[in-house]
Amino acid sequence: MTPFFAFLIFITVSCFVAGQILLKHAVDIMARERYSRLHATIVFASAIAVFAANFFINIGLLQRFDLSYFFPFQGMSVILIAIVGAYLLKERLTLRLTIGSIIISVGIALVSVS
Amino acid sequence: MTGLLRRWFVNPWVQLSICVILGTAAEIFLKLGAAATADPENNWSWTGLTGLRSIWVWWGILASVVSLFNWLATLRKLPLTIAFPVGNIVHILVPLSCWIFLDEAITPRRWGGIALVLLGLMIVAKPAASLEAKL
Repeated sequence: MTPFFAFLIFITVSCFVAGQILLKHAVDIMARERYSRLHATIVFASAIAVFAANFFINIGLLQRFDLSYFFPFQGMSVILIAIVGAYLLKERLTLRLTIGSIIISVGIALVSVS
Repeated sequence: MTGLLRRWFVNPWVQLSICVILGTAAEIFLKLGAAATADPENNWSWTGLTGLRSIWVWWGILASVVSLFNWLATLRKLPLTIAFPVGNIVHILVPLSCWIFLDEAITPRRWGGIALVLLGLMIVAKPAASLEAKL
């Protein structure tokens, strides 16, 4: 795999995580008693835009790689969510999250050299 | 009879099972569509836009959308901390489906990597789902 495609895999997984967080944010905004419709629309549209980017880059990557090769990389999304969550919520990464993330990373490394 | 069938269908575990099966099917459809429209010579093929020419990609989109509704129906009745770990079964079903339906040759090293990813996901599933719910 070239660095360019490794970068694209990172981008597509990041888009997936960003889309999930933005979508949840949009739902949270709309659940408030009073909210700006423009604000909710912008956040929702951003979620759709990054999900669309994730979808099309996925197709582009599937045109080059086996699905069984590419799919395990999606496990990185959990690691990204843990990192983003720890950063935004100012929570420490638990030992369980750290060990699990290391095992996922080793698994992805094994798949990437297969 | 219809009431019984309806009660069965709205059961969150049934919804989660449908979600997982459709999620797996969507990946297989998207791969079929991507393979049918692959053009490695084209410098812009990484954008994936050419994939829209394949009917398989549209089936994949449909399966993904229906699977998303099943996921939302699941989350109405099951907490994310339970649904998320169980949903990870897709990480077994997709490689198995690749092997069975797409004839992909999966080396022992790749199976090993897939198994480690799955093990890691099982370990982080609950704390990660809690974090995601808070985000």
